Amino acid sequence: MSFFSRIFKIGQSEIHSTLDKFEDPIKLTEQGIRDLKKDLQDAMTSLAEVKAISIRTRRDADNKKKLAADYERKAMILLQQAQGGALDMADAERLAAEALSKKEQQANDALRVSTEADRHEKMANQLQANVNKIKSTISTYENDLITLKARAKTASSTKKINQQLAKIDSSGTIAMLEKMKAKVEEDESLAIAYADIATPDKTIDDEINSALKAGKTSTVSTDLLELKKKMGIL
Amino acid sequence: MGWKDFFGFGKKDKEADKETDNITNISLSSIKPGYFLDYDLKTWEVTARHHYDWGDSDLSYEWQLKSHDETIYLSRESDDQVDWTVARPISFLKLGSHIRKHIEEHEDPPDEIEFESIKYYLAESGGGHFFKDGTGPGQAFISWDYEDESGKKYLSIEQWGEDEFEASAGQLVEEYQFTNILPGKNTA
Repeated sequence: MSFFSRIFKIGQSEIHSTLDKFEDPIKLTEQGIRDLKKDLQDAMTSLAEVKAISIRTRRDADNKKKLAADYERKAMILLQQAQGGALDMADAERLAAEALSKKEQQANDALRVSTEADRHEKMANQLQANVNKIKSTISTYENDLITLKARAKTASSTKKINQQLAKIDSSGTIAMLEKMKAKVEEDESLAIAYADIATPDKTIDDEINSALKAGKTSTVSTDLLELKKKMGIL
Repeated sequence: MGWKDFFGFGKKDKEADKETDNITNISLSSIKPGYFLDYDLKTWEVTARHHYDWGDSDLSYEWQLKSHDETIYLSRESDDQVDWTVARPISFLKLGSHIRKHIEEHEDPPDEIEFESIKYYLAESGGGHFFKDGTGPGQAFISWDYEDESGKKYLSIEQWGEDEFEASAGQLVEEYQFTNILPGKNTA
């Protein structure tokens, strides 16, 4: 590797390292999900268009079928009327033939449009499957992100607590507690000192009571002596 | 607040972002004309959204759904809980001529009506105002609602004006029965 290539590589790695520090993976993931949702929105718009065409085409096919049936009905009525004498048979047959021709035309159109509707419906189903797939992916990503956010928060809190417990963080809570402890101890010492200064001299009565107290042998001492005698130690 | 927000430039972007955020979770209550959804093995286009005002701030909503061959009405009523019903318009004459006669004589239809071999019982009646497409001054009407023994099938008679009657038959539905809700091109 040439000297300049190495220099370039070092620079590149430094830039990546600096960029890594600026990147917030959570925000980047959120942005990624938002981008996916925009793609989904576009896909849904296309799907809506296909569905609209599909409904319209199927309706058109149905109408043409109905129209074909209507022309056939009209042809039958014409012949019936001619049979009943209300119409001239030749006219009735001519009109009935026209009606049947129109019926044929409408039936053919209905078939063609119905095939188109089938195609649109198939396409709509395929697009719907894709849209559902994107939705499912987004949903999985969102759930993963929620879990990761919670884990990141817990990890951050645990790191702080452990740092404080290990007293690594000198400016943290432990240091402050130590400082406060020292201050309380200082205040307590001062309080005792002030109390000593404030206590008045002992009175004669206090001295007499104290001497009497000292002269008294405790019951425990008496009991001990008795035990020793019993054991023959004394 | 950024400079874009201060001058109102960012508002539209934020609204668009909000719409995008909700795109994977569109609720049935939020459907608007132009939306599509699947129900009962068919794809339906939402063609209108009306509401009924029953007084005392009691509102119910109704969406007109059209497939290639029929029109149905999806209604949402919230009392203690949200109830969804799907109704199909039926000819008032199909209920029998005695119904109109009964209303003319008693100002109310009978307490029991049989339709398509199902017996319906009068559950409630009342009046309100209908707001077509959610707008306008509202059109006054009276309605009588019947339900079958199971409480899942409904029959409704509505009187508009002096002598105009409409009827519909419907059933209780669940929100999960409506799937693949899709905003239309100009509805987002």
